Amino acid sequence: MKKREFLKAAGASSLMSLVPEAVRTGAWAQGSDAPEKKEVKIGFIPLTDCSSVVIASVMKFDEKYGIKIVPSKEASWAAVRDKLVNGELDASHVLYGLIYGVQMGIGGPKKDMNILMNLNHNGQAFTLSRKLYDKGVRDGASLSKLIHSEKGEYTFAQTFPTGTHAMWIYYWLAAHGIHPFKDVKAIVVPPPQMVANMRVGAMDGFCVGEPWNYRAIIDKIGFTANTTQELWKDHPEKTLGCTAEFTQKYPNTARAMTAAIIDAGRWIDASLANRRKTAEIVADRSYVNTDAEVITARMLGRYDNGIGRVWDDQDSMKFYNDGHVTFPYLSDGMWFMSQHRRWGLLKEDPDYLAVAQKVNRIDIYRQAAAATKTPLPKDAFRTARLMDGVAWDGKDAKKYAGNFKIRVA
Amino acid sequence: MVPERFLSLEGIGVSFAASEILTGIDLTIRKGEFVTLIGHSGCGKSTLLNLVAGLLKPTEGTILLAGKHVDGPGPDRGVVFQNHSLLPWLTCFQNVHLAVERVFSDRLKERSHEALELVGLSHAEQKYPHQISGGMKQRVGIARALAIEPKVLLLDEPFGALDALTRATLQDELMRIVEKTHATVLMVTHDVDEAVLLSDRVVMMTNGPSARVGDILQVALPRPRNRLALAHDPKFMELRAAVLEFLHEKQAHQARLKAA
Amino acid sequence: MAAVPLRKEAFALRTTAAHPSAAVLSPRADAAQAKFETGYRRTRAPQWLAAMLAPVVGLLLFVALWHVIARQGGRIPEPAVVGKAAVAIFSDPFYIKGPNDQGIGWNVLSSLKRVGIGFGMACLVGIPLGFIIGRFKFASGMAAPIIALLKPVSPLAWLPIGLLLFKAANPAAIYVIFVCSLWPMIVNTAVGVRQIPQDYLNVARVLNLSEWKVFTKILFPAVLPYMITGVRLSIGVAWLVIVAAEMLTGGVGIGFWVWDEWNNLKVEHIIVAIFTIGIVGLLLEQMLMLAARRFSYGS
Repeated sequence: MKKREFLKAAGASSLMSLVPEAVRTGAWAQGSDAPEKKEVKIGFIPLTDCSSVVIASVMKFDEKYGIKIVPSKEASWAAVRDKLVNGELDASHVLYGLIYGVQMGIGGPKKDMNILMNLNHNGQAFTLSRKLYDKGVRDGASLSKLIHSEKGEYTFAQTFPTGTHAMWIYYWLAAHGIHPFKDVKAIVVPPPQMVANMRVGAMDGFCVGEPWNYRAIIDKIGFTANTTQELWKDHPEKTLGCTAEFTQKYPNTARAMTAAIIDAGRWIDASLANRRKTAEIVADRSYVNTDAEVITARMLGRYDNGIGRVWDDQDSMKFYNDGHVTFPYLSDGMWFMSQHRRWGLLKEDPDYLAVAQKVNRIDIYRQAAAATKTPLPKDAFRTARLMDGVAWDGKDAKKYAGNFKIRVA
Repeated sequence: MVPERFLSLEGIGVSFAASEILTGIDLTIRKGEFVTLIGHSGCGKSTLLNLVAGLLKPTEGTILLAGKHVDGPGPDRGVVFQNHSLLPWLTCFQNVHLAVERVFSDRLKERSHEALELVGLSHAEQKYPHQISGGMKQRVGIARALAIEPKVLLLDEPFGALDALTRATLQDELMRIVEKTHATVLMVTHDVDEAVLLSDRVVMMTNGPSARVGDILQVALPRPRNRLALAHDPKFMELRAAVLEFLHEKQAHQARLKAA
Repeated sequence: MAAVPLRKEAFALRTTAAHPSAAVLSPRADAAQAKFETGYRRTRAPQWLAAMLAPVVGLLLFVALWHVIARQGGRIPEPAVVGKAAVAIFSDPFYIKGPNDQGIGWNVLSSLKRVGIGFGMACLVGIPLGFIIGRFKFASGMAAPIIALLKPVSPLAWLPIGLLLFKAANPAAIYVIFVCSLWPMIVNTAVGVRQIPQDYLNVARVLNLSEWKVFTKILFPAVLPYMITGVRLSIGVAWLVIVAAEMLTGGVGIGFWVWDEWNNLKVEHIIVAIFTIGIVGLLLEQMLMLAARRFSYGS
C-alpha cells in the first residue's frame, strides 16, 4: 500500500526529477552512461507488431543511443522464452503474459524477468471460420448461441499458454458465456497451422496477431468476428522483455534499447506515409517475409472484416500514442497475473503489486522517456472497461480474479 | 626324439558337455610321412586335426610334436582349412606375408614370393582372393601354411569344396610340393581315392560318438604316383577296396547294430 | 532410324549381362554382340544414355501427375510455378542480407556443418563402443537394455534436454544429431564384430597373431562394411533430424528456411526446399555408397 501511494503521489514531474541531468538532456552514450554492450541481439517473431523493433534497427534509431540492434528472427514463442532464459537473446519482442509466466514459473522455467517497455497496443483479432459463418455465426453472441445449441467439438487456437492471445480468447469466449475449457477445446498452435487447419475445417476460431487475421480473410477461409481493441481498447500486447539479470548487468544498454524503440514507435505513428513505409520494410524476407499488401491495410487502420463491413479503425495498432503505448503500466502486468489466476495457471494469488513492480522497470523506462522526450503518464496504473462491462483499475487484483463467473476453480 | 615318433598322440580323448567325441586315440607319425584320417561324417576326424593344430585342448591324453607338448596353436604347425580362409581385403601376397612376418624376422618378402612360387601362383601375387578361382585360393592357403616352414602340415578336407577336375589337379600339386619339401602331412578327407592316392598310411576312424582309431592301412605304393597309371593298378584297387570295406561294411554293420 | 533398334539391342545385352547368375549370354544376345562388334560400333547408343531412360521417364510421369493434381484446384502450386521459384532461389544462392536473410546455399551449408559435427562425434564415440559391445558379451549385456530404451526416442524429444545442457540453440541441435546418429553406428559396428566369420578368427589363432595384428588385419577390415552401413544410416537420420531440429531452434539452416517459408505460406518455396533437402540427402547417400563399394572387397 505504501509503495502505491508513493507512486500515485509522485506524479509526472516528480518522476522526471528522479532522472539524472545528463540523461534528461540526452547527452549520454559517453562516459559512465555509455551502454555497456554495443551490439544487442533482440529476438522477434514475424508479426506486424515487431515493427518498432525492426524500424529501430533499419532506420538506425539505435545508433543515436550508442548501440546496434540486431533483430533475430525466432521460430516460436517457446524458443524465444528459452533463448531469453539461457542468454542467447539479450532481449525480445515478446508476449506480455509470457514474461509473467516465466517470472512465476508457470509450466516452464522460472526466472526473474523484466519488461522494459510495452511495444504496441491493439492490432490483434478474433478470427472465426467460414464454416461457422455458414452456420449463421457473426460475432461472439451468435457463436455462443450455436455452441450451446449444437453439440460438437469446437476448436479454438492461440499462440502460447500464458500469452496475450490466450488471455484474449479466453476472456472473449467467457464474456459471451462460453467456458473456454469446458464448452470448447483450446489449443496452442503456430499461426501458419491455425490458418492451415481452418482451411481444412479443423479449426473454428483463433486469436492471433496481424497479419494472420487478414491472411485468413484474403484466403477466404475466415472472417474477423471482433478485433482485440473491441475487447479492450488500447490493451497491452507485446513488450520489450529481457531477464532481470540482463538489466542488472547492462542498465545503460537496457535504457538505450528502450529509447531507440520508443523513437521508432514514434516515427511509425507520426504519419500514414510512415506507416506505409513501415509495412514495406517489415514485409521483407528478413522480417515478416510476406507481401506488403497483407500488412498495409490494417496497419493504416483500414479494416475489412471479410463479411461485408469495412471501416477506418481509430484504435488500430499503435506504437506510441504520446507515450501511452510504451509506458509499462503496473496495472497491465497485474491484469495478466489476475487472468493467470482466473484460469488456474497460478494456483494461488501472488503479491500482484510486488511482482509487477519487480518486473516492469519503470525506472529504466523513465530514463529512456527523458532521453527521447516522451511524456510520462500521471500514474503507473490505468483503468479500462472490457467488453463484458467489467472494469479494471489495478486495485485489488485478488478480488478481480476471483469475481469472474466463468473461471477455473 | 625318435624319427618314428615325430608326432605322437597318446591316449587322446575329447568330451564336450556329457558327450564323448573321441576316446583312446593312440597315433604316431614319422617325420616325412603323409597320413590321412578318413571316416564317416561326425566321426571326429576334424576334431582330431584341430587338437593337433592346437585349436582345441584334449580332455585327456597328450600330444607331442618333435618332443614338445602341443599346447595351443603355433608356427610349428601349418594349417590349411577346407574353406580357404584367405582374408579378402589382402592380396595373395599379403595373405602369405601375414603368416610369414609372424614367424620370421628376415627375408620376409622373399619367403612369401617363394611360397607362392612353390604352389605355382607367382603370377597371381597381387590379385585379391575374389579375383582368383577356388582352386587357386586353396593353393594360396597351402602356400600360407608352408611359408612358415612348419614341422607338420595339417590339412582339413582341403579339396572338399572344389570340383572333381580341380581336385585332381591340386592333389597332384600337393604330391609334388610334399615331395619337394619333404613335409610331414596329416590330412583329413572323406574321399577314399584321395586317401589311398596321396598317403603313406590311411588311418580309418570308427563312427562317433566315442570314435576311436578303427584300423590303419599301409599304402606301400611307390612314389612318385601317377593317377592314370594307378587307375589300373591291382594293388591300388585292393587298397581302395579295403578302405571302402571298412567304411561301408564294418561301420555300416555297426550302425545297423546300434539302430537295432 | 538406326538409333532405335540399336538402343533396344543395348538393352537386351545389358539386361542379360546384369544377372551375375547368367554367366553365359543367350544365343540371341551373342549374335547381337557379334553384330555390334563388327558393324555398328561407331553408332551404338552410349550406355549412360540407356541407363538414364527409365529414371527420366519416371520423373516426367511424376511431374505430369503433379501438374494434373495441381490443376484440380486446391493449394498445390503447379510444377511450372515451382520451377520458376526454384530458378529465382538458385540464381543467387550465396547472398547475405543480414543474419535473418541469407541465400539458400548458405542455409544448406549451415545445416551440413551441423550434421558433419554431430555425426562426426557419433562416429568417434559409436565405433569404439560398437567394437567393445560386439567383442565382449558382458558389455553387450550391459548396453542392450539402454540402447533398446533410447533408440526409439524421437530426436525432437532430445532437443529440450540439449537446450538445458548447452544453453544455446546451435550446440543443442548438434547434440540432437549426435544422439540420433549414435545408435546406428553402435549397433551396426557391434553386429559387424559379431558377424566376423569364425574362419578368420581361426586363421588368427593358427597364425598366432598379436592382438594388434588381429585388430588391424582382421577385425577392422571385416567390420568395415558394417560400419559403413552404420554410417549410411546415421547420415540419413542426421540429415532428417537437422531439418526438424532447425525448425524449432531457428537461425541459419535449411530447416529454419522451410519454417520461415511456411510462415509466409509460400507453398512453392516449401516445395523447392523439399526437393533441395531430398537432393542433398541423395548426394550424401551416393557418396557413402561409393565408399561402401570401395571397401566391399568385390563380395
